[in-house]
Amino acid sequence: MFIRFRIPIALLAVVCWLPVRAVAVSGPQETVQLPSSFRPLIQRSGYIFAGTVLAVEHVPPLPNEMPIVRVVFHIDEAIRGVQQGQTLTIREWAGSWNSSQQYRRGERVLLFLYPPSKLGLTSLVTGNSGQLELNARGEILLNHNQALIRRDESRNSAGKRNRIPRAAFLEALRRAAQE
Amino acid sequence: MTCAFKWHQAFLPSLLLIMLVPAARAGGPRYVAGSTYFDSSVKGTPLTWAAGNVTYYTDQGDLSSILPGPAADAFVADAFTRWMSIATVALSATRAGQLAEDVSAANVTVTATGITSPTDILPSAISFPVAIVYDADGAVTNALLGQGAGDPNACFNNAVFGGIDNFSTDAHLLHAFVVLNGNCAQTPTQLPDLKYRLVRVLGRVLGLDASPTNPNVFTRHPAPTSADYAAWRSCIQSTLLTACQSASATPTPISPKWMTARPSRGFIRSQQLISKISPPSFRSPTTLPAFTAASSSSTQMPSLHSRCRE
Repeated sequence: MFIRFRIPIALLAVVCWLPVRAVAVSGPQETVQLPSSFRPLIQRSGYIFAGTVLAVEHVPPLPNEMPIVRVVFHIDEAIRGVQQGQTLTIREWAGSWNSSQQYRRGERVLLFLYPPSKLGLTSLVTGNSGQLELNARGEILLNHNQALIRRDESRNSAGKRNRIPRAAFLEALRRAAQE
Repeated sequence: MTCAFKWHQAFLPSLLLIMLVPAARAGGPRYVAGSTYFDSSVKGTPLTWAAGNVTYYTDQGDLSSILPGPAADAFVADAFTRWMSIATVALSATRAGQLAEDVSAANVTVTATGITSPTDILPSAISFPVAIVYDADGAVTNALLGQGAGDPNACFNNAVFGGIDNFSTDAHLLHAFVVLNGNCAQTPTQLPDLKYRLVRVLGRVLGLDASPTNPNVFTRHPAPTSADYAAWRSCIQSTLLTACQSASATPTPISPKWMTARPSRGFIRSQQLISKISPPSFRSPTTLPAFTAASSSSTQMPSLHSRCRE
């Protein structure tokens, strides 16, 4: 009888184990190491913060004007150029939305943005790699382009690579931003 | 016994389906007519240039000291050729002349009401369907993307940027705007990388979307395999670029054996796509089926394609 169900049970076990393994994170004492390749991202940024998108507004251009998008954030965690609790409004050239980034109202993100230009416009440093998503668990979610961020080597494992505890990551960012 | 076996048979394909869905992801048309704004008759139709004709205008200024105006024009024309020369595509790109000015930070300015620029590069300038701007000193890039975006150390991301910014209700592309950063064209060794990025952006201008790549060739995480390098390399080579690796990003020398590579399956995949949305007997573009492993002629293509573009 057991043999009869052996293969389905094994498959079921694998299916149940995969998501559990994928969301597993370590305790708050874990440290995050930012590789040297992350430094240019920090150095070029005028704004670094974790925030919530409050509003996205496509500003209708006048006849001789370029279209822009206005995005309003609530600053949840300030790293550079902003203060915690602040409401920040940025302006982006709408053309940059055609090629990569877009924000959604209510989205929680960690952003690396260029200092505003003489036109008051900004965008993500290094394209989409300058935007990290936060989930409801307070974890930083990395896409495949951001998988360069590593944990402490002694704790590193493939299953943990794409989710980083938020507090540890922000602390590592603050340290790097002050260097 | 029989009942358990049937359950197993049903379960295993479902599991495989769930596991393989991410691998089936691939690029497609960048824009497809939706249910709002567009005529109802074109719903689901990929957006293309009318009659397959792409007319572009170039900046009056120089791109850099090694690419003055005429040389920059030839550089752009060659990049267009990479797409137009595909045998199964009825697309043509014609340089119709110059823009009315040298676009620079001097004429892209901020006013009390917004950001003004020359009228022939605005989305509404459909009589200048594709505007190619030579940003000689990176100042236009800085102005549009943020301070520092046009610096030489940002070429990996901002050497070429732009894309479609206007389309019609009958599912046609009307206007595109492309900026080439002159700070990324200062030495001959930079030009292959610049060309590669221009070809990619022009793919977007033609209506193609990008698909994920194997960034571990750059990031080293996870450690890239020889297959990763080979696929990445063959993709690059498909645009006939011979020294395309970014000096700042590629840590490992490319083996000569990759230089003699097979044709790029990824680029072939893009060729197939552009052939579908702009076929030789150009009528109205047909609704494009979703690209999955099942619709590809080779089950390997989606994953290989995902390694090659973007």
